[in-house]
Amino acid sequence: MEKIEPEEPYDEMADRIKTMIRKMPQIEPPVRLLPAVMEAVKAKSVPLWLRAYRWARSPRSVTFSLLHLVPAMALCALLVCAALFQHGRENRNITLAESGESIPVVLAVDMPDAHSVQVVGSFNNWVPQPCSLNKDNGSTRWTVTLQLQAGRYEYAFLVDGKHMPHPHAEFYQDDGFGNQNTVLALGKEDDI
Amino acid sequence: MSLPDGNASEDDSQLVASILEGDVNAYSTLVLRYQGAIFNLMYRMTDSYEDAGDLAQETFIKAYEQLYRFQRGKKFFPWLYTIGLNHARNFLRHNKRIQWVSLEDCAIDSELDHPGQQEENICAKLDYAQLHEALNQLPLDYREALILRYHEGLSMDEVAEAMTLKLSAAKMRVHRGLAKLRDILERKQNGKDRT
Repeated sequence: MEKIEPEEPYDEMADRIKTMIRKMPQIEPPVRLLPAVMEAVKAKSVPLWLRAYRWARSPRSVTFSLLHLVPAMALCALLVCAALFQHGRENRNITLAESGESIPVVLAVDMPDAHSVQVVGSFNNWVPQPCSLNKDNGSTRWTVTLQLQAGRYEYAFLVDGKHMPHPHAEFYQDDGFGNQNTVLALGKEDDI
Repeated sequence: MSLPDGNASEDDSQLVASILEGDVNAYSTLVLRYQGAIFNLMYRMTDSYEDAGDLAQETFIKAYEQLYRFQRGKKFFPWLYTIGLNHARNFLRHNKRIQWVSLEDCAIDSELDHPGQQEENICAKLDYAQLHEALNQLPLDYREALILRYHEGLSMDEVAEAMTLKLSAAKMRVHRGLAKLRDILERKQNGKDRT
């Protein structure tokens, strides 16, 4: 304890009172006080959550060594692999192409001068499939109706035997042989 | 002084940390260190050896239960003393034994710096029995402020903390308590001299 500094000018009476208070005899506490307290508190140990909270709040130093680093990295790699695997599984599960649900698709092209129009694509293994001629209200349209599952397809028309992509399509893809195919996407954007 | 000197308060904080980490036995050191002060506080409050023992025990158990609230960097003893004081006040209030002496009613008739021949006589005749009796006539807050300051050797800041007062109020309690104590002792001495 710190030294008591005088707060008043020296005063013999006050000084004597302070000294007597300081040296005032004390009564000894009962011997049973300590064991009684300890017996009671041992039955009330600090809850685990409180110790965990204190531990979490207390500052500590962290050291890394190769022995610690290798298992930690292995654990990280394992977690990344597991996450990727799970991600792949989830993506595959939500692909509509595997859901077995068919989407009706009508491909139509205006070719009034053509004698025959066929369609080839990834949906029919590039085997030519004939389109039927429809003449309505003065227009001449070649159409074919397909039942396709969601997914990405490429196709083209064979107009009188000549390869021709759909003239009004938005997306095209080179077939690697100098021709272009039309790209058809069915289903949700994320699934394609 | 009844309290340990040296690095006791730093050691107290380490003991509290150990207890909170699960070392219950570390609490016995704190009990041993402060049981005298707390027991005597209770004895002054109740004037009963049995009640003082019970209240001291309950104070230590209460402090243990509240230990997680103890702020690091603070001193343990003033914190413990606050718990003890409140516990004793509650006990006296519940048992209708408290003597509510208004601090305002306890006007200071004499000041410490007044001179007089009486002082020499009082100094010579003052004994611990008289002091003990005079202390018991003081309002509780004055008495405990004096005990904490001069017997336990706490700083004014610590007295204020233990009594949950502002520093200026704690200084006033000590100053006025000392003046009142002196006044009581002088009156007793004068009365004896007349007889």
